[in-house]
Amino acid sequence: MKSFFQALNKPIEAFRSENKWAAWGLVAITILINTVFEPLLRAFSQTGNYEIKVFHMLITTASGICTYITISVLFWFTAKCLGSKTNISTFIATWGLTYFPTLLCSLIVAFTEVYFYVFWNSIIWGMVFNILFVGILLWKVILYVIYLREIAELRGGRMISAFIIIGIFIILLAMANGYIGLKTPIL
Amino acid sequence: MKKRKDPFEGVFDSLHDKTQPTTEQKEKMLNYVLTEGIKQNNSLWVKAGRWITVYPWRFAFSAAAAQAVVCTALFGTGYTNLFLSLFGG
Repeated sequence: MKSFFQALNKPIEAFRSENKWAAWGLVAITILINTVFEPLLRAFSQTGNYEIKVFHMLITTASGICTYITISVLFWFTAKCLGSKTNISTFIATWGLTYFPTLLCSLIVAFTEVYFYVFWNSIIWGMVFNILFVGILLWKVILYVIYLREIAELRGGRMISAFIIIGIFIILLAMANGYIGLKTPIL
Repeated sequence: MKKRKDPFEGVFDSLHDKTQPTTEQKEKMLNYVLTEGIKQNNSLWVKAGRWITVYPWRFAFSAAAAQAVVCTALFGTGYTNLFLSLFGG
């Protein structure tokens, strides 16, 4: 529990402690919210006309795990090309510590997708979700920069280059995730 | 034959070495390091960086709340609907 709070409040210390079980735990919860919780919520909210596809759940869960490994490898590869000496295992063990905003986003997206009609055109709900979505995006970007500095150990121009290159990979993987059916990309 | 000097004796001798800084000089050095350290730690960039990196959600949601209030006041539900359709619809 301490590791989860550390990842939430003090990301620099969390990255340095490299708690892989906390990292992978966060990734697993995020994937399950996307692939299992969202279809279940949709099935219970509608009157019998939504069918739960178990095979699709398995495919999206496997895709989520593959996405996490792929982005970790891309982090390692880009950072290595830019002069980082960090091992691939460190990248795989720590990127998950940035998944608090992703987890929160997947939970909110599940509700906004299913109860879309409640929030549309409502100024109060609209503002609440606007704050949440923009806040989550900023939070993830802050964690992304801290990660590049602390784990990839890149500074200055190299850090900016890595930010742009991995940013492009993130956009491409997010599009691929959306195509498969993962509404919140596992990134 | 010359007697071999005990290594500990050498260490104790170095404490009385005249070429080493005096207590007064050491205090001056310590004060310099402390004042410079405080100056560096209190620079605006360091403070801002620390405020953002510790509790990162605090900065993220504060900035998001500020833009949401300003942009919704300017563009109304069109703006909030845009985000709902982009991220959650």
